[in-house]
Amino acid sequence: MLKPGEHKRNKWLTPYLLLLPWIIGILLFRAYPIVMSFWYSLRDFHPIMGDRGFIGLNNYSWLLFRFPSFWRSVTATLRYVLIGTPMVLAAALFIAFILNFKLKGVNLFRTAYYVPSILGGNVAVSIVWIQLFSANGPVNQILSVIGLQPISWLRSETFAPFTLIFLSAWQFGSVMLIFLAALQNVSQSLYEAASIDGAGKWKQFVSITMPIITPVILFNTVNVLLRHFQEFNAAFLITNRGPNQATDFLNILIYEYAFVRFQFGIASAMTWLFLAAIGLLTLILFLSSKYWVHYSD
Amino acid sequence: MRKAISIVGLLFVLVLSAGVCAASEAGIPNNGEPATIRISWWGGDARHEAIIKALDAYMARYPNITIRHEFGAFAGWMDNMVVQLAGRAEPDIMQVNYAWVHAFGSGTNVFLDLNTVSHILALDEWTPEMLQSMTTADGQLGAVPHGMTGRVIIYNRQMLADHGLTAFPATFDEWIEYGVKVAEGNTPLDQGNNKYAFFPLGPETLDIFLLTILTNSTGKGLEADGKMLHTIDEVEEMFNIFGRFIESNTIPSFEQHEPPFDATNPVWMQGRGGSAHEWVGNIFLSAGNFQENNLDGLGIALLPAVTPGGSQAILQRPSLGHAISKNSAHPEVAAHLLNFLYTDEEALLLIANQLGVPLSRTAAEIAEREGQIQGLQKEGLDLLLAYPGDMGPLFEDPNMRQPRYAIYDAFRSGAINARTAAERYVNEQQAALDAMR
Repeated sequence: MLKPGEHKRNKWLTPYLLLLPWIIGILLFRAYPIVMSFWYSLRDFHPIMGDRGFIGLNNYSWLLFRFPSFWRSVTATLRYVLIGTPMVLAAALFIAFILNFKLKGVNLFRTAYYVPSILGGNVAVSIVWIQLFSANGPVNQILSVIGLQPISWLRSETFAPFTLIFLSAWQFGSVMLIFLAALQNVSQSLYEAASIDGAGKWKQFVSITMPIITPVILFNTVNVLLRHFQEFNAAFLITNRGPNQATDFLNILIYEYAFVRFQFGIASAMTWLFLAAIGLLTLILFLSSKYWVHYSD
Repeated sequence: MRKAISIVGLLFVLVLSAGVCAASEAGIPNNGEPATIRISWWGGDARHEAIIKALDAYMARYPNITIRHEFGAFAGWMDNMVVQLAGRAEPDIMQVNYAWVHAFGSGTNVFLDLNTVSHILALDEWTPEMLQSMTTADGQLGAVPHGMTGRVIIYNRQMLADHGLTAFPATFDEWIEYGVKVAEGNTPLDQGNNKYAFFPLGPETLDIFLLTILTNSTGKGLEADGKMLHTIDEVEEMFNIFGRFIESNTIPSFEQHEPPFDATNPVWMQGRGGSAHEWVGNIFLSAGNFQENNLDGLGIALLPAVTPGGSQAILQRPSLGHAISKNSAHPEVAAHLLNFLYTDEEALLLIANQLGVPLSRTAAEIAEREGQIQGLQKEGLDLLLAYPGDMGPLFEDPNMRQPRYAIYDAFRSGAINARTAAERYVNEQQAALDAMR
């Protein structure tokens, strides 16, 4: 039998008790590693050899000023992100636009275009991609049919990043679905009114569709941008970080320093620089959004 | 007289009790008291099954000991082990790689100095040289080696015969001359018809091939006491030789060499590679992929000499080893189990050749008697024993190796010349050595 005061106290406590497992989880598995990684970044730390002491910003300065591979990796990552992100968005929007029409068997097409995004960057997909883009693979055979020279897709510094970008663009399914949902929310009356005023399909797309779906474009851009920054599997499995470090993305370099060389200090410093770069780009994107994103209210 | 009898009697009792004690140490582990120990290893299914059977045999013979085992594939094994070591949660006995003993073992509280359990673990099973290879800079025996391994040439007999040769080239000049003939008609991109006299299956192959050039032509190892032993001029010469292999298309050019970078590469599998440079210990891994296990189509040879009459030493290292954790609650039981695995006939017959070619005395004798080492592996092993060379403990350390891989790629792709490659090689290797201090 509860006393009157106890009931009130329990009511106040219950939500926190229910939240406790989540709070403990986030503190233990998120907050603690984040704090520790910053602590490691200021130290010369090896998981077995131990902590060789505080070294201030030495890890950061070494990365920024005395480690050329870091900048090669930054360049490779930015190239992948800045080319890959618009490509995925354009492909997803284009296909979503087509699949928004009332076509026969449209649901089958929607499923078919979504399937690659479920596959992700696993070993099986990597083997298929290597075979598709090998010197003697189907892609080069198609090029030779139309009279073009074969391309070294996997071993050319120029083309290898595109091999990975194509893979990412091919897996646009989830982005496409979000665009499709946004397109289906655009009121048909707007198109009808524009049509009466003499606007063609392209004009309707540019002046009606695009402005209305800009919040979704922003959402998808941030998501795809982050996904590209975090790319690991494809570059590791298909191009093996090469050729000549052309696909040696920052995420893989961090992995190498943390789990191959076991230099936790440098890996942690790299992670924080990486976080700063992602944060900066996302901030720029959000700040710029007030000029190009249109909210309905 | 009575006093003398008493003294003799006392001595007799002492000798007897010492004998009992020794029997207890070498015979019954933990004096018959119950104990549980953990052992871990990496490998394939056949190895897992063989070791588990040997462990079961041990537990049947010594029922007071319970063994828990952990195993998995090599990929990711080092990460797993480092996490365990960092958290002091490692097993009592660990299968270890040669490089790990030197990278983690020196001056740290990780691996037990096996000299401290030499009264249980029969260290005379190994030669002093073998034990030295697992001895860290501070003089501790971090592990016992299972065997020694090194790389030898496995060559495509048919390709050799097609070009009128009866034996594999003995010098680099002859090899390149052969390479030019093989590469006639090759296209700039490998579209499925190119052939190469030498096909380095992966970056590791190339790495050891180049170190062998450097070591055999200068007579010096990579480093000693934390200092690079090679000069920039010597390394530049190594890159010049490497350049001759690329220019003559004896090995595929950077663009011709497509993934996968292992024995499943179509060039090797289809028999378009004239030779590879592979570990003796797991030679059947590459040989098995050659033309669907066409073992008769392959021969074994030494890596040709850089110059006529020059050294053809095979750089060797322990294939794998076994260490005991310094944190083990039962180091003597662990040593007893290790001794069983390395010296007991029943255990050795159960494990057979699943750990590779054994070189400890009893294991080698049984392997020889049972004919466990045959064919290409036997030929490779004979070469290994006849042409000893030392790879050095730090060559395979990831902090040394990763920069080299990047330099090889840059040179092979034409991004840098031999001089720049040599300068980067010496400077970056020295920087890695400095960072280890």
